[in-house]
Amino acid sequence: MNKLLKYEFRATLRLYLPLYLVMLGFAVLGRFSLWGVPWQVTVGEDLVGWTNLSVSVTGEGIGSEILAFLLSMVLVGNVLVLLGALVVHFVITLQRFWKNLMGDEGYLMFTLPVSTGELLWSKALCAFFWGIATSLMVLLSVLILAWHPLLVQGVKQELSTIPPEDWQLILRMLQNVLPPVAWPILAVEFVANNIGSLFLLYSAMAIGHTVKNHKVLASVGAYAVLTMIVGTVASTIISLVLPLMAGVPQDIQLNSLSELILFSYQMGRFMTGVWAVALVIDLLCAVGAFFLARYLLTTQLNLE
Amino acid sequence: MERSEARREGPVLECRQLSKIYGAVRALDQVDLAVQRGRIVGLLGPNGSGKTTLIKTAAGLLTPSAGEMLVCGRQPGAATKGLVSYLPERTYLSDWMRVEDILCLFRDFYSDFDLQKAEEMLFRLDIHRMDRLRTMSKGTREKVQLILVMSRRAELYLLDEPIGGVDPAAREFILGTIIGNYSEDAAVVISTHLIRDVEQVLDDVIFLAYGHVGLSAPVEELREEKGKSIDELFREMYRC
Repeated sequence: MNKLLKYEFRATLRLYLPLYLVMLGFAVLGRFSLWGVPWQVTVGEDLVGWTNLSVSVTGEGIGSEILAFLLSMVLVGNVLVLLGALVVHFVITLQRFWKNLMGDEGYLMFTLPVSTGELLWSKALCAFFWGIATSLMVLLSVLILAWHPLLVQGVKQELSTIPPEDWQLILRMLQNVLPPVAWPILAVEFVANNIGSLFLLYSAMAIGHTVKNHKVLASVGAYAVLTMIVGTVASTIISLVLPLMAGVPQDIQLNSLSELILFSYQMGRFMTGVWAVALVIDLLCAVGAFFLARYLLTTQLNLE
Repeated sequence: MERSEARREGPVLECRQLSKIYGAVRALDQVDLAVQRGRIVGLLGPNGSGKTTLIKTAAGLLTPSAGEMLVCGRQPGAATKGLVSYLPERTYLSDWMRVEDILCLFRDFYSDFDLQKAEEMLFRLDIHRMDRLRTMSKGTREKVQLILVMSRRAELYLLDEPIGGVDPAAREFILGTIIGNYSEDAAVVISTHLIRDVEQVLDDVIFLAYGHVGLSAPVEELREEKGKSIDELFREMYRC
């Protein structure tokens, strides 16, 4: 398994490294473009009392209009690059499975002395890692692009208006809504959901590959059907379990501070139950999709 | 599976009533055969006769529809894949890899891979460790693949059409590499329809047509008995 992961990371690193360099390059380029523009920042208050930061290009006439247009193009370009990065990650995930296992390379991969389950896990774990890495890179790019002393100053100014007793209340409510017991549930649910989604994709491609012609189209169709089945199973379980769960907030009245805290506590209990149910559903789907993919790749495999 | 455990009496490859069905097509139909150690076996047959299906089943790429296939006494799976060295018809090496990458991959996954032997054979062909597979011709990539496969000390070598679509000089190199490098207590199965080219290196032949075994016998015995070459015999049996 470690050897498979080593080669999978090596094969994907050469694809992700240029992608991340392009993302960072565009973010830095956008950042310098923004710095070069004569900014005008106005600080005011909107109708509900929130601080309103208004950013615009100073000056008048055709020059400033062109500048504003170019600025908006840089921002749109950056947004497109970031969205494109997520699309590229998705394409690489599909391509690594399709080309490396379902294509000619499959003749090598499926004759290595490893189990089909190990092949599936190596692909899924690697894709999961790169999914997180790509999301972090998107976040980093946005920070590079948007981080500005004036924005930081505005946020600080806004936060300083909240009195200390309100901070304590906010923290208490956050603890109620997200109790410590919910954290591991959410963490495992996040992993199960992502890995399960990958196994579902792999199952769909394995089904599509069993068809003689139009394998890609068949894979897309199989994915739609599998998603519908998962959705139906999930909604059935939720509709059965939800009425049985204690702590569903009802007749909510938020007239006092104690009622607000009680509500956050009830919401926390309720949501922890919901996440626990979601975890069970995600685990069921992940296990089901894994065994379906493993069965198809073991017994129905027919490389051309 | 321990290698010593695999080295026991009995055939390296055995099929018992083996069938493989694709939809309405019976690619293999109740095939019975056995391949013994130390033999070079020609799996001969016209196109579409089931040769590749049989080899892919032995390599663990296909699951039988009925019957049984045993490799070193075991059903094909992760354990038998470590004992079988398989050369498919297709080039399975990733274009982006360097020769060094693929050597390391074989060394990491196959405990019987002889890195030094592979490097020596590559050196003789003037192929260097840092060469990218992308820059090589199809023929050179096929030679690299053959070298990798024959640098293993496997129990069973499965070579699917190793001389199909190559020039006569390359055929000579390929057959020389096979004969010069296989382990003597191992078995080699060579699938081909180019019988005349491989005839001289074979110990046994299996004629396969329409999913059935038409004939299975030692080459010398057949030549003496029929007074014909294997190529002539095959043409006579499967004349269109």
